[in-house]
Amino acid sequence: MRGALPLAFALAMTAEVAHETLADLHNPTTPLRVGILSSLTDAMFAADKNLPGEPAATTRERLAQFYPNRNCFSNNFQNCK
Amino acid sequence: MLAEPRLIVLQPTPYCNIACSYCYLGNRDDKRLMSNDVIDAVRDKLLARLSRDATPMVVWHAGEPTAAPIRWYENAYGRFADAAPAGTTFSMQSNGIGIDGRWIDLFRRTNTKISISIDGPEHFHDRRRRTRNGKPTWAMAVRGLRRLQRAGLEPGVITVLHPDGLDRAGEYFDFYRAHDLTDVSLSIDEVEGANRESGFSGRDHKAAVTRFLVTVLELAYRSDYPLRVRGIERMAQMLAGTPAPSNELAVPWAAIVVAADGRVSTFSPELTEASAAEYGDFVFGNILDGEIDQFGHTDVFRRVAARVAAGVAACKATCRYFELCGGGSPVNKFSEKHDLGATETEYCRLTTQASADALIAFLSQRRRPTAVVPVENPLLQPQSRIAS
Repeated sequence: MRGALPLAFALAMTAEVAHETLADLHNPTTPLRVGILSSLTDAMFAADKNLPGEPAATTRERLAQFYPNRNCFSNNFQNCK
Repeated sequence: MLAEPRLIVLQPTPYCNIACSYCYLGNRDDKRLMSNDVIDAVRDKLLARLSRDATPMVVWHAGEPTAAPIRWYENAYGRFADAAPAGTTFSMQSNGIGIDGRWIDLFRRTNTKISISIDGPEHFHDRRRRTRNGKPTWAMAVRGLRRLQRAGLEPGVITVLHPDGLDRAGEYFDFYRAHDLTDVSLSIDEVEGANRESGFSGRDHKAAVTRFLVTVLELAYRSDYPLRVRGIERMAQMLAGTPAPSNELAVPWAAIVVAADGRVSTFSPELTEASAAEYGDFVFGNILDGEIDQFGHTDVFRRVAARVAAGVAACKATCRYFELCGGGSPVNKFSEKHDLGATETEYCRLTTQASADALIAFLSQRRRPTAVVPVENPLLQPQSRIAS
């Protein structure tokens, strides 16, 4: 068993396909607020066909709730399902 | 009404069977064990008074918990059995060198989560984590780790970083992968208690720590190795939109520390290793002599709590990372700045700030791969595909 997919890597995969620039985050005067990567998580959820059209806040909550149990047994976690 | 602590740190013994060069414990030669009177007081005055739906984490910590006999734990767990809320979780932070089949049996029977302190590759670990007579401990710690892994207990690892390892991130990653470690917490050599000087003191290492973290993330990501660096994952969850829990290190009684002799403190276990004229030894009472909710009404506690709150407010007003950390770590503020009301510390810069910066840098480096593999979102696959 290789363990659960790190959220940092899920966000990275989404950033690759969504072309997110994250430019604001590099401004040292911008406070790093909870949810500041919501465009990335929105893209992550929007890309998923199984999502039942719920508000982004709800899906983010689901992400937090379900994430720790989402394990991937494949050697290539980028393709795990 | 007793506040509901999220974290309860219990010290079975101050004694530690090894002698790390950066240890903060001043009384690690003290072989006393927490007595039955203290265990019963923890049960009656703390655990039994929590709401039945509370979910506190009890951590056996500081000195080396496995220096206490297994029968001591069997006795303690037995005494706690009917008092702890059903949602209580138990964990232990150990140097790993004494872990054998009997300990593994105890962890299984008591459902205790175990984490081992291993400072990465052998030569880095053995540079500072040595026995009391100067012998290296890496091989013994890894032996304990392997035993736990073979037993299916999936231990986490805490690695303390020092400046000499920061440009060797690849070696650390290779160590984690070679030892099947996917749950790693990276800490830093801190100025605290008996550790009067950190290897990080005197120079700004934030950029180097950030680079180290980014390199580890890149290596793991590119080699499809699902390494969870806890500090990075915490940042990812918050930046993705999960509200941060309150900072238990800065909220009075969110963490309760009970020393082997019954002394009670809060905010952080390391705070009991500090002292100051205006705050004494940061001990607010003894669980044998009083009630925990009374300890919050003492003058010394009020002074400490007021200064901690002032520090949190100052952080909120001045720091771009405030939402991610909730006001920093008072014990580090006191240890580094001699002021609980201080703001930014070296600890902040090298942990919270470096983790956030590393995650942002890592994500910013992402580009569509040249050889694109269609990526389904693995977080949102049907539950039936999910293994526990």
